[in-house]
Amino acid sequence: MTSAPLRARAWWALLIIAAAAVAGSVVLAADATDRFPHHRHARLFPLCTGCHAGIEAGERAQFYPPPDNCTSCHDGTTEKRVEWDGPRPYLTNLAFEHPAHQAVAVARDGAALECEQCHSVSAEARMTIQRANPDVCLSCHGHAATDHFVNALCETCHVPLVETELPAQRLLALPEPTDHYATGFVRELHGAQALATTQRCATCHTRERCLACHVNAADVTQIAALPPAPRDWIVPSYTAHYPEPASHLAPSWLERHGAAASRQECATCHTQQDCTTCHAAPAPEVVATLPSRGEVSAPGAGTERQPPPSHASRFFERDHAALAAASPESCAACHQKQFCADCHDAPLQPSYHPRNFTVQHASAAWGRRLECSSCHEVRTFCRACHVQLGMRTEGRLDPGFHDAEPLWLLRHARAARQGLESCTSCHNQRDCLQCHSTLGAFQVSPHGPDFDARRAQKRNPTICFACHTSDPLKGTP
Amino acid sequence: VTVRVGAAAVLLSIVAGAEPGVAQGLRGSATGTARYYDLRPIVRDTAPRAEVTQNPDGSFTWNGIPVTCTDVTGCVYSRSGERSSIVALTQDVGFTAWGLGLRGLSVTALLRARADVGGDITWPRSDDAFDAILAYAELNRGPLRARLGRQRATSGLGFTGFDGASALYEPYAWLELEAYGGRSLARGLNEPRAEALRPIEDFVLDREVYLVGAATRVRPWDGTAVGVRYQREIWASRSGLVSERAAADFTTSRLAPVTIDAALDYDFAFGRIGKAHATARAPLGRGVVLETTARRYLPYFELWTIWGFFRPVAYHEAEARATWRATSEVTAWITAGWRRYDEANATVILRPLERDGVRASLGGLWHAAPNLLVDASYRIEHGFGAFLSSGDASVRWEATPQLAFSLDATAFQQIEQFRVGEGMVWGGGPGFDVEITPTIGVVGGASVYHQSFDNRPAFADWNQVRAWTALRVGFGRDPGQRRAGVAP
Repeated sequence: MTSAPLRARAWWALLIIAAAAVAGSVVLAADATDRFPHHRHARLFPLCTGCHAGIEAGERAQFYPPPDNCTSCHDGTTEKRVEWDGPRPYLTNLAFEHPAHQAVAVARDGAALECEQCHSVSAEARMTIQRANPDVCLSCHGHAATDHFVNALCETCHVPLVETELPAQRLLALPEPTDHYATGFVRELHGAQALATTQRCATCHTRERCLACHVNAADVTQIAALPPAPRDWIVPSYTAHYPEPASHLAPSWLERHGAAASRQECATCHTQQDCTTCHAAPAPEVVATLPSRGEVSAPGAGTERQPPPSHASRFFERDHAALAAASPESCAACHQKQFCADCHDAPLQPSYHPRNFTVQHASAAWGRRLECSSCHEVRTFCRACHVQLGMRTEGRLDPGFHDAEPLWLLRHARAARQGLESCTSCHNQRDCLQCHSTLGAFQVSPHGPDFDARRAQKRNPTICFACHTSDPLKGTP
Repeated sequence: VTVRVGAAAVLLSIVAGAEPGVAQGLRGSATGTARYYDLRPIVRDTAPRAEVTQNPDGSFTWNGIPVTCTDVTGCVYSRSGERSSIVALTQDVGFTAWGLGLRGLSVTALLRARADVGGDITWPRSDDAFDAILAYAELNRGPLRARLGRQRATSGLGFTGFDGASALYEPYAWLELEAYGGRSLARGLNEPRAEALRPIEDFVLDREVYLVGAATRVRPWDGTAVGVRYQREIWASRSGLVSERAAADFTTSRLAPVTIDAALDYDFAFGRIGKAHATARAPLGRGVVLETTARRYLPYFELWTIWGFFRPVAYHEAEARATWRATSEVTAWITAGWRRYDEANATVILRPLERDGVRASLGGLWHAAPNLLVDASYRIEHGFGAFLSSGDASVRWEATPQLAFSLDATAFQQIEQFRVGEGMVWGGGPGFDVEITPTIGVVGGASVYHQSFDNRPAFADWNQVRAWTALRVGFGRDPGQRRAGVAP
């Protein structure tokens, strides 16, 4: 609910705005109309130049007659007194100068223009005059302009904004061309128009307007060509607009943007800081080529850190190792080394296998792409479950489990040598020693033909006694 | 346990007691996870010897059920047991605190608590109620990074945990030098070996193991890096080594657009190369990237076990992968590989075991809409002792940036190594992901898998239920973030 004081303030604000609008309209209307009753003096002044002597020569001081010319008649006796102390300063952004305009007309038509051609209201009596309005200009300057603010060549008639004498109030009231509201104007149109001619832009804008958005303003010739605002001007604080290009909306944009990245492509909207929001140091080289936020006026489009689509895969956790190995720089774009170490070195998130890995762990272990014992103590970690689930030996030479192979005990040697890890996930050493030891039933040597016993014994002589009752190499060279 | 609790208490007190006026910062998260699993253990049963039939290939069956008969054990077979379940809780709290009054000093800890709150089966490691997985202080000063406490070295030699000190020195942008050492921890268990392994394994000496290691990484040119690491573990009694290994890796993009990376590890005790690979990637244009890999794989076993002395054999594999980014919304890939195991030098009885294996897979990713992702893959693999055919599909829909739903489906052939019959699993279920606030999120899901068995009448088809949910609460903020309000 709105309080009464607030409502009162709102009414006052509306009232002030309305009053300002009316006053502004009156001032502007007065500017456009003839304050001097020329038509009442029609029979008195045969020539325009009688009063406006400086027009033809372009001498501003003599554009208007001196006040004494009026008071010579309007002295309060002959005619009623008129208080006029000379023309008010004529503030304009028009590039028009009468002598130059006449010279062009003479060169083109062989004859000078008459004052009435621009200043007389058509079909009115002599000396019913007005200020030349844009339609009058366009009636001769017959380019394809259909809209004064859109299609006209502004610079034909107007000086750049920085050269105008217009007060700030009128500058702010300059009309905004309708094409500035067109869809895609900021994203596409304005750039093309600026490339075609910056003079049109300069009619209403100073360089600061571009600097408000363009991060790479220093690179753009058209922006450099735009005059900056004089130092004594108070430049409004413009709001930066960064419409998202169509390319950025593609689902794979995040993954592919690196290939297209360059200062030329990105620096219109992005600063280094936009990149380093995601890219951890060391960032790709192209990042350093972009302007830093502190160096430019524009704030940059800004970015939000987000993971690439590949990370959404259910199998990403399992497969990321291959991706990381194939393209470590891709990981480093977003992750710091510590991020990997969180799991691989100092695991704050100790999950390596994908969720529910136990469902398929048997096939993964059998395939042996990875070595389970790199991380797991097979004799405890694997056997703890396997033994409870019945995959164990009971008693001496327990057959039973590997029932696909008749005479398994006699045939297991090759399978054991090819898949010894699998054996150790269910069997303990004593199972094997029932046969493979000097005290075993069959005293079968497991060492194989190229076993370098001395080399192994040199490193751990005690293990020999797991099978041998005495030093097996004693007495051998 | 007392030591671990004490260390955690000290760390917490450092964080809590630090002066807030010295730009203290804290970043971390607490994640509580609850899981429910249905399981049916395998149980042994016996078959009457008189009713067992011997087949021409020497195998035995009883009422169509494969059985194994020996003079010692009689005839035994495996069958499905009663339905059991697991309800397990895990609580992780991890944080890094800095601004402790000394420039460059931070403290990192990752603590984990576990509990089985129901069911008949113990979730792995849940009998160990509390672990300090990481707990170290770090000092970063210019080119030097030093750590003290429980930490891990991550490299081509795997994850090596230890209680000790490490220093990483980077005198130039192109050179890193690293050294570390301390009391070695059992891999993945974050506990001294003797303490962690003695209850379940023989031949575990009641001694500490010490670890020392050194590494260097050189970047001679932009896009090229070479790393070398040496690491050894030794019994405290100096009676022998537990491991002595080295690793090297290399990567370069100097041949752009072709990138190459390669790595290998070497076991000094047996004088052999363990795992190695070399991969080259090249874009072929039109969104196609080709990747070829040559790989060697030989499992590694520490010297305190007998396994390494059993002479496991390596396989060598050639693999190619093509990824095609058809449009910005659609990506597809296909891969194929062939491997061959080294000669095992084992006596052939009845028939030789396969030495070759092939695998192939294909998949795709489709961004059907900015908030809708469809993902599917299929792979097939044939190797010794088993065959795998597996397919996955999932749909993820982000209803809002804070709320996402997913639907997963899978079907695969259960790996039954050297067992009769083929197991098939198919199923799936929904999941959700809710971001309640930028720092609080809840994820969860449930699934049902139907498991069926062919040619194995002793195993009844059944539906397995799985469900899980996790609450993650983040606290503090990422010092690397430049914008407030961006989720870490």
